Amino acid sequence: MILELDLIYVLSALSLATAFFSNRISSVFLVLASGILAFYGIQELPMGIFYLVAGLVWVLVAVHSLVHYSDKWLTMTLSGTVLGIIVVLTSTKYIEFLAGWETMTLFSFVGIAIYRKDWKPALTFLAFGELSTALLLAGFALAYSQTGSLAFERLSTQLPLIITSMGFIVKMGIFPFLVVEWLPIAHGNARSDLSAVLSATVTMTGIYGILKMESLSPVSTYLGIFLLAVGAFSNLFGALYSYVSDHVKGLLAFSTIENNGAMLALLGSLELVSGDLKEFVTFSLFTYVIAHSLAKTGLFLSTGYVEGESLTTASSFRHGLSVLGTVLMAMSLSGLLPTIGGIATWSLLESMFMEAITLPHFINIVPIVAGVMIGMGEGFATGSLAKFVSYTQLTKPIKDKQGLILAVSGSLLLVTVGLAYLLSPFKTEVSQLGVGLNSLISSQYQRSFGGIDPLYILVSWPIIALIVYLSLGKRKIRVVDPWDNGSAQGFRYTSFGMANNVRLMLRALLRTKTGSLETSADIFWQAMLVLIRWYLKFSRTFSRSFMNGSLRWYMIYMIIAIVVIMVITL
Amino acid sequence: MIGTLVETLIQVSAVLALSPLYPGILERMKARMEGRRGPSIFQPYYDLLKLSKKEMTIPRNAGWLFVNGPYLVFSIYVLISFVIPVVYPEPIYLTPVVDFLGGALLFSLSGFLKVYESMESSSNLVTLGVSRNISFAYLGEATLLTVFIAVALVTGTNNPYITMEAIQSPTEYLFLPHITASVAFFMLWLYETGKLPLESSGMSEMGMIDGSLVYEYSGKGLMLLRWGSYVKSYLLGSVLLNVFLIPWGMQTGVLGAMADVGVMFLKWLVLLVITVVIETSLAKFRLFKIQDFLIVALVLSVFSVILTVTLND
Repeated sequence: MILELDLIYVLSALSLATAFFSNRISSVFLVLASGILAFYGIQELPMGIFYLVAGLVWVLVAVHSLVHYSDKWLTMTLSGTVLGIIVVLTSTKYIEFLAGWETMTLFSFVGIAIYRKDWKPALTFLAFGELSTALLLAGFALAYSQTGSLAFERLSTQLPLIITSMGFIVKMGIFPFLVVEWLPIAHGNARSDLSAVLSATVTMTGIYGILKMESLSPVSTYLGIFLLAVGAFSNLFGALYSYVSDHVKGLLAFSTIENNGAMLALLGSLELVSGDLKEFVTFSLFTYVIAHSLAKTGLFLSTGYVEGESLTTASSFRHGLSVLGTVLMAMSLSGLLPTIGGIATWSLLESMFMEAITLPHFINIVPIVAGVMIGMGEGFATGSLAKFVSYTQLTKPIKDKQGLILAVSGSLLLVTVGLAYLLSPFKTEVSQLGVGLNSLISSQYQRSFGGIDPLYILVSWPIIALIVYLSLGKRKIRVVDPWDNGSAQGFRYTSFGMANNVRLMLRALLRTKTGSLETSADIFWQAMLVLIRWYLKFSRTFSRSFMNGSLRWYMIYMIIAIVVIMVITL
Repeated sequence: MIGTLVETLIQVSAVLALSPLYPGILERMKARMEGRRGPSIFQPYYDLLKLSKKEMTIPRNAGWLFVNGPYLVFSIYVLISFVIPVVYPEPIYLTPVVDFLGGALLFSLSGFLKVYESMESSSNLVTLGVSRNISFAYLGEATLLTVFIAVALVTGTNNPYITMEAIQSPTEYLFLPHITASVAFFMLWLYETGKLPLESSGMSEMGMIDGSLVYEYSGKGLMLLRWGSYVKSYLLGSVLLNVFLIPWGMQTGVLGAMADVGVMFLKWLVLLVITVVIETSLAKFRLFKIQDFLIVALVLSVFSVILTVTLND
């Protein structure tokens, strides 16, 4: 194991070093490092799922980069980000974790900044990244003060977990920090491969971090309720903003927030439940990690084939295989069976409602409300992905041979259903009513609750379709122009127009301004800006009134500050 | 084993064969209520037969998804007819493939595919319908999930057959959460099957939602989508009848399965009478008012879940 890890470090360092000379050699080293990491992950299941998923994501990204890109500097930032994540995922000490975290943040920052030479989104990313680091540093320092060791060891209080969770939440773009995720990706327009890494694996490190700290800390019910509520809220709003977004990558970035919200809700649930249900919630979290990371990687890579930033005006290349791949990815991210995303959504909702049965009165209302919010979020998520896939793949007439990597990404979402079977804690051994092969994934709390069999759906659905096809006989097909009210000008409904119903129906939430063009805004970002303006105004007034060069006021300020610090310290 | 096989065949074939009959009866009843003679109750069968013989015209931009999508959508409905108690009250072959929630996700899968295949047409009228469909999906999906969970929580399992059996007890049937969940599901059924006051069955551009999704289809594709929507209506309506409104009267055994086809027919007549009264006495809502209607259904279903976990220990 140690040899494998060393090899992974060496190969990823070589990928970084060789990026200065050749994009191709660097990508090959990245493929090798990622492949070995994925293999290492299979041996270390269930926690190895993070290695496995990261490895698979980076193999896809590196192959895409190898085939399509040649910019050495951007490849260097990609390799540096990956190296940082590897250090984070394999760290055994706080200091290693922080080193990896900073490496990841800094290389991502440079990658965002130099792609379009626009520093504003990159600086936003860096500012929130450093806020996250500061919180992690504080949490780890507290943990060190408890254990006297820099290694990840069992903790005696929940405070380090609470502080570090806040740090990880900032990085994941969870409410109210939605802007952390969408702004750099949408405005900075990081290259597609880096966008995929940022969305699929950088945010995954946040999930990994919280899970790791939860495993070391005593249970905190209050933190559990907080994470569950905030996660569900972020899920709903992430999905809503994703649906009304018309930006090719912004839409996907908001979708990442939606998925991160779902995973955060599960992390919160882990603090609230025990026994069989805890095992099931952990299973749900792992399947969500697989589903989100793989599907989001493929969709971000698909944006590499899109010309333009607005879905309404963008043009795209299309191929039968790319349609298949993106539809499968959208199906998984919409939480539909028989994909891995369907298993994730099913298990998430079952977890929420089993918690409603098992948790004490009043607290059990939280998972019910969370489950309903996630259900609504799924509705918006289905809509936003339908919009994305339609306007990048389905309705565009340009055809090209650009489908293989997207088809592979999509197919992985069916293949990884096998992983769900490996991770599933409960199975029914007995063959029942034609369902055998030990293929039922069941949900349990103190007793059995429900179950699904994705393998049987995967097999029986195409068989039934084939029977229907054969029974109806041969089709006569004639190609015609679609009806456009007889204008003969080929009018198309735009992507922007597609979301206008929701912009108008939810105008209070979305701050929709009607006029020649309806526009909506991220109210959390607006609220944050208002708070910043208030703070600036207050500090300006305060400094002009009390810190205006008067020595007396300055001395009073110093004394008060010292007293406050002493009180806090004591 | 053979008995279960026969019961399975009876359930699935009854769903496929009888699902077009109920819209035919509904149209006939509506016509009579309005003083018209109305079409034959077998008109949906004649329409399906006619469509099966026509050629398929496909838009220039359409690909494999548009052409083959209807087969996939129809197959999902066939698969669902194995897993929920829509004719026979006990589990049949393939029933364990999904639980109640899994069944709801299969319904969502069919809706997802209908949207994607229709978008390949690139028609602006189709996109208009898709846009409307998605605008209300967030409330529809959440209500469907919550309402299924609401009845599942009554018994503490997500198995529709156990729930159906438990609901037959008068104390469970008259339990307030079950009543609110039933009302919520009935409202959702009206929406999902395009009944007034939410959506007219015609192709009027001002209000059409589902109608525009099949706008560019013809021939066998349109036949499968129409038949699929009849099956969907039957499946959801039968769950409404068997698990929510009238859970009694179902027979078991091979002969019982045959009798259940008749029992379901009688239950459906009750549902159709209620529907006819609603459809002929209420005016159509404006499009944006559908949101308000669905929010009421969602709130009722959430209320039901909260009451269930609060009142049940």
